[in-house]
Amino acid sequence: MKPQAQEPAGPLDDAPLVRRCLGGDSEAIRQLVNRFQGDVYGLCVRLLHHRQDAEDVTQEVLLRVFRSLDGWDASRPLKPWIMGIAVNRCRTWLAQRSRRPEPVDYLQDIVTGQVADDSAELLVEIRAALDELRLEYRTVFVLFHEQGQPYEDIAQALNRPVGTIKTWLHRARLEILERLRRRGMVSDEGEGEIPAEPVRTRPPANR
Amino acid sequence: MSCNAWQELLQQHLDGVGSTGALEQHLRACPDCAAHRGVVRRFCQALGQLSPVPPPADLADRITSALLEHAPSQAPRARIRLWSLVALAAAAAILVVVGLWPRKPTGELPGEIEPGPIVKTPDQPDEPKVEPLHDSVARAGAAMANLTSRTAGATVETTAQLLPRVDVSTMTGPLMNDGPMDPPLEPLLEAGEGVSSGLAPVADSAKRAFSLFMRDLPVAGSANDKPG
Repeated sequence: MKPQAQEPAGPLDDAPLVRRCLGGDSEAIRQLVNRFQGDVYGLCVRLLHHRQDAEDVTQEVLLRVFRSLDGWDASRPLKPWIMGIAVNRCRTWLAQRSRRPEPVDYLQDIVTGQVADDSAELLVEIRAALDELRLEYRTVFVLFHEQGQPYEDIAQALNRPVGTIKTWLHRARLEILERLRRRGMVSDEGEGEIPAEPVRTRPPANR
Repeated sequence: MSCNAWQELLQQHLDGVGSTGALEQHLRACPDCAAHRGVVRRFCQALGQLSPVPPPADLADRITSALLEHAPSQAPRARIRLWSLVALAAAAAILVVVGLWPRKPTGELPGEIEPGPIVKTPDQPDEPKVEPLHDSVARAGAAMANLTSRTAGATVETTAQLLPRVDVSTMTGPLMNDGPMDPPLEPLLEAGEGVSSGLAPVADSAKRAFSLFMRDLPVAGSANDKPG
């Protein structure tokens, strides 16, 4: 089975890749998919709470991206443009799904690496709290804390000022924190150092 | 009295714009905020462990296959669209020409073309009768031949008034056959005769001038080469 690791790439690589895709280069199309499917799927699964729906929407998003590649502004990074399409498709999907309720596929949270049991439990609680947030808050939180995207890219994807994105993210954190405290997941006592790098779970170069 | 400065410092720390030291320092120094130190520490730890849900292993292959199915059809589709537009435009032009051409309600070929707007005759029903396309095209072709014939006739008439007529019986050429001629060709032939007769004096003068010129030219290698 092929590794699904995302190819590290920067905005400078976007334009040649897009040109090759527009020329029908199958290898370039494969690279485009490998580069962005993880981020798109990761966002979709958090916004939709349903793995199958997330797969369908991810495919739909990348099809739309491919069909609209000739309309992409090459002076701007590709990733925020794609993530913006993903957010819009998720919104539309949620609106359609609300008219035909289906059983929710409760996600099994995957905790990577070796973490203490209470940390794993805390992560599950954070994700449960995340699911209760407004869609905008949740989107910003996932893009920033799970995907390590900078404020500027999130602002471009959501077509909002950076200040608005920061406000949404701050409120999202406070709401999650408040829920954790209500449920007794975090105590007010504790020793040890505060982590120096609590965010940026991966390098932000993959834009 | 409670201090909420830890919240602001926490946000800055999580945004990556504030230092951990500033947050630590405040939490240790401020009695109100010190109580929140455990919350901040565990919350920051948990956020650092968040990671995206990985996609299914075969998702990329499935999406790539779907894209490649669409990829070959995109460029040809654009070309087909262009040809479709050209064909549509041509068809529309033919229909407009045929539709605007004056028609006789009896279905006979028009002998004379009446200029001016189309006037509805009493014979015509309110709903225009849809005529087969091949009939319309045939009608248009006949009308065009008629128009050509009339124009050629008028040209011949004008030319005959302006130029002296020559005897065509002395002329030879592919058009000078004795067989029956198509009616539309007769006016054209007459027009050609008129033009030829008009140009004949000029052609004769040119021929005479050329003969004189040739006569005066020195012959190469003869004794008359030397001047004087």
